[in-house]
Amino acid sequence: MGKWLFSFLLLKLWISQAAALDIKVHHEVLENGLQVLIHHNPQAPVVACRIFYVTGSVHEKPGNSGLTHMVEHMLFKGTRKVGIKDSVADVIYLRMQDSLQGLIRPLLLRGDTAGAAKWQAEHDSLVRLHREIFIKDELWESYQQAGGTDLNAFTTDLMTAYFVTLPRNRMELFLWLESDRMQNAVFRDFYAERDVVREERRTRTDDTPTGRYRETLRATFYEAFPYRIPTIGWPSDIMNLTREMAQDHYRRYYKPNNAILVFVGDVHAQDLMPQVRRYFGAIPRGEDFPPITLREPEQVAEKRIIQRRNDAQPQLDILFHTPAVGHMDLYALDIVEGVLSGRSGRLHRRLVQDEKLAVSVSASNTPNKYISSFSINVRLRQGADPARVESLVWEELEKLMNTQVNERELQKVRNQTYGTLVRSLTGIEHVATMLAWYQMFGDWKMLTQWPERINAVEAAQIQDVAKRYFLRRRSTTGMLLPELAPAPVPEKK
Amino acid sequence: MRNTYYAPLALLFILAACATPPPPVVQSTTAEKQELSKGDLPATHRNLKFPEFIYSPPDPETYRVELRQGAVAYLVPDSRLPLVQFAMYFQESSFPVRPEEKAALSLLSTMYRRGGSLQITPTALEDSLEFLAASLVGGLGDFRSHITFNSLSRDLPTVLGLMENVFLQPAFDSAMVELQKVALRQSLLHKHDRPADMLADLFQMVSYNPHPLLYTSRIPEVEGLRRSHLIPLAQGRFSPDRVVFAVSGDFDRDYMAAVLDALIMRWPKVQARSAPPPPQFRNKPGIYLSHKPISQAHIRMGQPFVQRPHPDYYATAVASYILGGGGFTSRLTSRVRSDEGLAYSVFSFAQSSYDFPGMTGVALQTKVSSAARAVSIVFEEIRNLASRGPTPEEMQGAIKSIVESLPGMFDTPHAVADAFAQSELWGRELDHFRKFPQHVRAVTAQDVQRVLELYFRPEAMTIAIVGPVEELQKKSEGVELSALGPIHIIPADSLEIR
Repeated sequence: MGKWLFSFLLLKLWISQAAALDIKVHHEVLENGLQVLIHHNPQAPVVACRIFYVTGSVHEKPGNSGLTHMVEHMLFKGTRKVGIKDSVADVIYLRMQDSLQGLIRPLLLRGDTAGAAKWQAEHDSLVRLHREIFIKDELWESYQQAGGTDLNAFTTDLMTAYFVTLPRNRMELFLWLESDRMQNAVFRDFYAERDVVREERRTRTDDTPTGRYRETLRATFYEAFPYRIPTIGWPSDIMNLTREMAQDHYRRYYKPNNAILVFVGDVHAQDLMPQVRRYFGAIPRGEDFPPITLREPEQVAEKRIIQRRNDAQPQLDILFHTPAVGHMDLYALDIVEGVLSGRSGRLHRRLVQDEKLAVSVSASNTPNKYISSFSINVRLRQGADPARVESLVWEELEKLMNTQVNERELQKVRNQTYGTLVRSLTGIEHVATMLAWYQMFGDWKMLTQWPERINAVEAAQIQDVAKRYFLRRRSTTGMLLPELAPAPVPEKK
Repeated sequence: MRNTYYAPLALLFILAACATPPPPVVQSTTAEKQELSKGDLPATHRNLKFPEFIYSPPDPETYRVELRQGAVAYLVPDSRLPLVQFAMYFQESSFPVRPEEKAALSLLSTMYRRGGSLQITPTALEDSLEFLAASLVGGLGDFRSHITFNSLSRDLPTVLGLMENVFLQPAFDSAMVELQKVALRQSLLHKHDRPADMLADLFQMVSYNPHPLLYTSRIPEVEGLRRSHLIPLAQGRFSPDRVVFAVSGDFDRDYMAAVLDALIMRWPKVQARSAPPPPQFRNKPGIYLSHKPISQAHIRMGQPFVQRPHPDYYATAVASYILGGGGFTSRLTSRVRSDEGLAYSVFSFAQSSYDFPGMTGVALQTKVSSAARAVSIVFEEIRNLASRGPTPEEMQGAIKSIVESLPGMFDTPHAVADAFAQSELWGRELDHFRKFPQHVRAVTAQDVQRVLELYFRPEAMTIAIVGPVEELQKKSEGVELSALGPIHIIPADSLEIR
């Protein structure tokens, strides 16, 4: 009886329509190209303040991988005006350190460690003197003193973000510090921070069970496009980054016409915009840097990697290339993600419940600039046959190609899309990040238009995208599996 | 401007030619300093003056509703989004009486939600919740149990009904029990894949005596579980003896109060289990190494702290902030990370709950060859701060930062409801958040020194390190671990508390 009651309730809800969601965002582009997004949310007397630079590891190449992330670290070290007692002496010290590094680096690359050590000692003593004129971590401290919370930064393949949440009457501090950071960074104490980044890589990647597997899978999936470069950088690249390289990157990409300022919280655009213009309006527009012309070539053969280690949960991944953000196929692929994912999704039912070959499974449609991806991840049961799991995943993909998804599945994904958007709008920090992200993609409104676009997808389109993108010869499969048991040694007669 | 650099470059050539050059004498000119401050903007951010930020946290009385049966709710209506977030907290303790029960309790906690109910199968339940884009979670905790859900406001009655159904009439479906057992078994099998997880177990094991709250499960115990084991174990859980609700979102306050009143009246009356006595510290300082072939040493050191409420809590929070809790400006980050480049993450902590005494300490990761040196620097910084005390700027900065983090605790409607609900469960006064700034501002530099001497004593620290054990014991960068305390090797396969 109860079961029927629930089914009835669900049927009734099935036909109800979601209310359209809209959020008011002030979007303005200054003459120098700086984009500003402001959304008022008066829940608490604070404002999530963020500045995004549209640069990431996508702007790197082998030899300087990790550079964008290194620049992010360095921008906490101060500027010509912040973090230093004597800005002219600062320049002199930096030049001298650069010159010494210019002597050390070739010696190290030649293997002359003794020669390098001599100059390194000189360099280190110079750094010690230089530190005497530092006002250490002044930027960080200034934000903290102003009641800043959620203070940090991050780098991805496409964006570098700096953020802090401030009391609503301290906004000018953010404008001062960030307009300065956009123009005057000097990258002092570069080489100690390079060691910190190397430690970060050890913690986040090298010593984690799946870190190197994920890197290798990504580098296999992207044959040419720079998404194959790990944002943290390859170990040898990190240790060969120089201050000059960081300065070049900064000069090129840290310009108003390559930045997005976002404010979400207890602030009104009419109050804040005059201040934004005052601080950022006079910063000269940067030269346009060359666009990324490289595109991922069409994949011509199935790719496959297998890594074996016992200290990792066994897993299987299948990845496909999909078009860049903005392409309408991505909405249909979102439906595919929803149909395959979740505990009521097809993959969980098949692999976890029915066949008992997996512990968990997920599908992920990841829209991105330049090129996107669709991936399936299966955490295998210990001892499960990965070949069998792989063939079942393909069976499910083929079902999508051969038969239309049913209306209930379609409606489930529509509901989830709407629900996810509603939930995502609850926190000011998250909203600030999403606004910038979609603006970087082309238009922040894509965020709120998402449910509408999903609602417009028809079952036939889903079948069509499945046929066009889920091709074996365009797939990349990764497996992280336990070590093979050693073959038994034949007994001697 | 460009000419300015010629003199220093000439100096550099001299510098490069000499083995031990004198320190360079550098002077900046007034003209150059002025060049940096031109324009109508403040020359420096230090000139910016802001009015005092006066923040009054929300008043709990505004949201507090007393329900029947002694239950309390914090209701925060907010119609800006069509969403309801719901939490129901039960003051009850779920801990294993014997170590073998730990696996059953872990499974039971999951199975309420995963095992369906007498009226809806697990598959139909998952399908219904996902169709409605709702989430429903519940679990048994050491000191409290909880049920939370969120749903679109239009679906509230349905999801509320599902919640009640699932947690009051759980079915613990046998097939689902078997599936969850596999997941639990696999998580146990791989529980030490990540160095951080292994370190957490090692640290707990060497810091506390065996105690029911800390018991760990074994794989055969999971494999032996059946549905029939869960049924008796489930009796008397989610007791309404003391319930606090936190509900926020798109609803009418009176309507929600009536809904919760009716819910609590339907909830079966059972007596809550009381909490066990708190775990006892081992108090055996030293260095405990457990082997893992990785490139870094994962280090966590600590000593016993207090149970809240306690007069030393606020002073220790301020002390920890200055020592290593305040990010880049803290002593440990500044020295270990910024100056020495030894670690990406280094921080101090002062963990203290209202349920049992916590620990104070420091954690970091560094390459294996730097481990001993990094620990010795941490000790040096602790001793420096304790003996010389914090600077007035450090005190002011720490107090300001801790006090002004308060608005962040109330930045969403559900954060407001949840903060007050949790606070009530912990037995705090209703004006706790209002008085919070006073308590923090009352801390003096002398207090900081006093609590550092008490709760951050290097010689009292239990130091847990996960990494390659042989390499860790070699002298490196001029320091040996054994010089910092007696070394004990804990086999990696013995990290369990029974």
